[in-house]
Amino acid sequence: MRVSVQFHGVHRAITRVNEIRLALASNARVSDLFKHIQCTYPDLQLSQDDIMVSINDQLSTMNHPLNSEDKISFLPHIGGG
Amino acid sequence: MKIIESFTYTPQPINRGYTDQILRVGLTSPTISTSTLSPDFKTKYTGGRGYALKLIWDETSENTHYDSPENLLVMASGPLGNEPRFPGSGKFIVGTISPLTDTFIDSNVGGHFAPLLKVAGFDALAVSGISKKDVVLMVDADQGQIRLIEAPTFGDQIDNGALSYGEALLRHFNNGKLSEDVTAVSTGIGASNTRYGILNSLFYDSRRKRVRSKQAGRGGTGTVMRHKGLRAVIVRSGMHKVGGNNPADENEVKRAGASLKKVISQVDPKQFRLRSWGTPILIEYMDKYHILPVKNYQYGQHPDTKAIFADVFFDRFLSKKLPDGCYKGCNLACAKGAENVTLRYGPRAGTKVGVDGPEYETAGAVTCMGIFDPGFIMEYNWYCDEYGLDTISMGVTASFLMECFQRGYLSKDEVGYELLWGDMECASRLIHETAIGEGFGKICSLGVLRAKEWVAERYSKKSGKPYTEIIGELGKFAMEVKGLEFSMYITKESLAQQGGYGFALKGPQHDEAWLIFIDQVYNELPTFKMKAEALKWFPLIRTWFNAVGLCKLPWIDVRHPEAANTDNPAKNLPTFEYYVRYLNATTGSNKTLQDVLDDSERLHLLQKLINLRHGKGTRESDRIPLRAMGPVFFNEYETRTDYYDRWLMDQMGNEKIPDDAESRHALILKLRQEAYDKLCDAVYEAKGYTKNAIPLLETVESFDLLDEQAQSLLAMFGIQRRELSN
Repeated sequence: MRVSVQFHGVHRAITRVNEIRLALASNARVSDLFKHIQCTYPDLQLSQDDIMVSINDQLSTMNHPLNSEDKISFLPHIGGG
Repeated sequence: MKIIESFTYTPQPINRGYTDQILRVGLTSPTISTSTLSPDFKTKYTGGRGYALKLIWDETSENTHYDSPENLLVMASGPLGNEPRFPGSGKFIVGTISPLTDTFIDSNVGGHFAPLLKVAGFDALAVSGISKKDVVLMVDADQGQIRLIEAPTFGDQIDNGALSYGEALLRHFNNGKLSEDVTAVSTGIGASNTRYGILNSLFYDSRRKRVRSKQAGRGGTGTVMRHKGLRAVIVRSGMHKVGGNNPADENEVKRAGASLKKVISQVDPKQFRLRSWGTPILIEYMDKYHILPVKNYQYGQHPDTKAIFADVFFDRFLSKKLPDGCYKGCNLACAKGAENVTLRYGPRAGTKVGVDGPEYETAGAVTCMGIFDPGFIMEYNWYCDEYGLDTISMGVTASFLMECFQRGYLSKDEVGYELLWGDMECASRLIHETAIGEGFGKICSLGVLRAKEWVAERYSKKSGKPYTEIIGELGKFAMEVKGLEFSMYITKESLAQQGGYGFALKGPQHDEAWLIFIDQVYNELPTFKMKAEALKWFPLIRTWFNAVGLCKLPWIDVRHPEAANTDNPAKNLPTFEYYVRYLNATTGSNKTLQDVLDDSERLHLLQKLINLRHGKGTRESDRIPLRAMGPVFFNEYETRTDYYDRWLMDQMGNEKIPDDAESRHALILKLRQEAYDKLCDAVYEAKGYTKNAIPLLETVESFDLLDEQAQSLLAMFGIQRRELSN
């Protein structure tokens, strides 16, 4: 299956892309994708403690199974000004 | 220089964060004096917002309005302000009775003013009375002189500008030179002509080699200052700032500050980059989750928003190599600045200016008018600062009037031109007219509440429809509560943030409770009980920052890596522990987090009492416009039909959903109103209030606030001692 990963804010600045498309195994979960992004973009210094997972703009978890055409974002914690 | 009143003094040294002195200035029959605070005063009211609240509670009445001579304008830091070894210690509070809300308003602002006022010997400045002529107050600690001086003039263009006039004064009173030892607060012509005038806090930035500014933006503090005839306050002191608080435990202050700075330097570069980008980083996330105000909060997202993402400002405008920040020692340094920005509109078109900002709120105020031009945001920022206008209230009032025009309540004949979304010429014209008090700007200058009444009266006469009907319709999209304009979030899909705005004592400003991401995006508050707990806890913590003289961003916008391992990561308690350590190390106390919450709750309750006294404290005053709860008009529903229908299904179950879209839309609004009512009940119970939002006697008594005035006031709402025994 193919999914999209959207990069925002600092992540977009580091990766220099808005979005990437990826082919994943049909039984892939968010955690598999997360590891892939960690390896592909080590400069992001991604840690599970630092981010929230969003799938199709809904909050999700590392264990969540992915579906074809999902749009995934790894968001920073936003506390508010 | 014509001296009106003069006072000789010896600056009191700071001990454990306090000077225990208040500078009192009366402007009617000019007087300058100092008063010494009792130990009980600082124990109970902490500083900053607490001092402003107590002085206004004691010295004004229900008959005091913003323009009453007895209205006080209080500027106060707190025991933790003025310490460059701890981040964010340049904050102070401006508190007064507001021209917008007609009750207590406080607005926090950074810069060098509060630290210098404290080293000059004062924990607070309290100004009363009204001067017959414009005056400037000069506090010169180096010479031990405080003077009221007839305001000097430098020519109309400078005299009318808050930034220009402030800078001219800083030079005038310091032998023509700018210096970090001299600071000012000032107002501009917009503060004379509107109800949402700001107070600019000006300081010399030796890196940028120019005067910079931060703003006490909300609620019309500058309008009050200008009405009093006080054009500016200048403070000069060459005394040392580092260690200036004379803390109880010098080494622990250093350690607590170093711990916080370490977290900021480790986390911010990979989380938000506030140090590089400032608060505009929020815009991108707000747009993604439909909470960026577009066209008077009708929509929360727009295809053009990418034109105003933080990196756009960074690349095009911000001076990248200069560390910023509004006070020494803060390594978060989010107060960005830009040099040589060329103005394109208005009376100063073609001029190059230095801009301090933008903050994301200013950008949101511009998208609220349907404009997505980064250059326009920069110049809107500068003009509002120079005129002395709150960027939020200006933008929200203009947007409300634009929607009145869109929906036919206003015509071109009445305005003088077409008030069109996204039209920079039109928005610019309205801003300038508002600032100088001309044309349709006179209506915009009133703020949303009073502009709504003006439009309703006029349209009622024009259409023959009853005034009550019109005001009800306008009230659906007039984005104000208690008379204050909403700050820049769309709350339609976050019940907790609806409460964050509705219950905020000063009106809908996010510095009391900012729960929108925690609630709407992260879904960390799924139940009414959890929302109610958050709506009690977060305002108390945030109130504490406003009482001690600290900025809250290093706490709330830099998530400590260890927070993830706590029960409630959003509270970021591992970072807050540094603050409690810093408090105890400075004042010599031995407080816990609960003590801090209790200290804050006393201040929160006192503000509630003032609101009750001024007719803004009951459940009715916490009502929010329908647009704050959901898609008030069908066009708003139509833009997100799939989302709203899915939401309805989650609430009702498939079989109960009406077939036609109009009925579904109506049902959504009904459910949203019921939910808000239920939230009111839960929050009032959590806070120890009645269902009408009146604090119970035992609640007030437990914080030692039940003085004679409080007893009489509560009795008027049927809350009397006998209730305890019932």
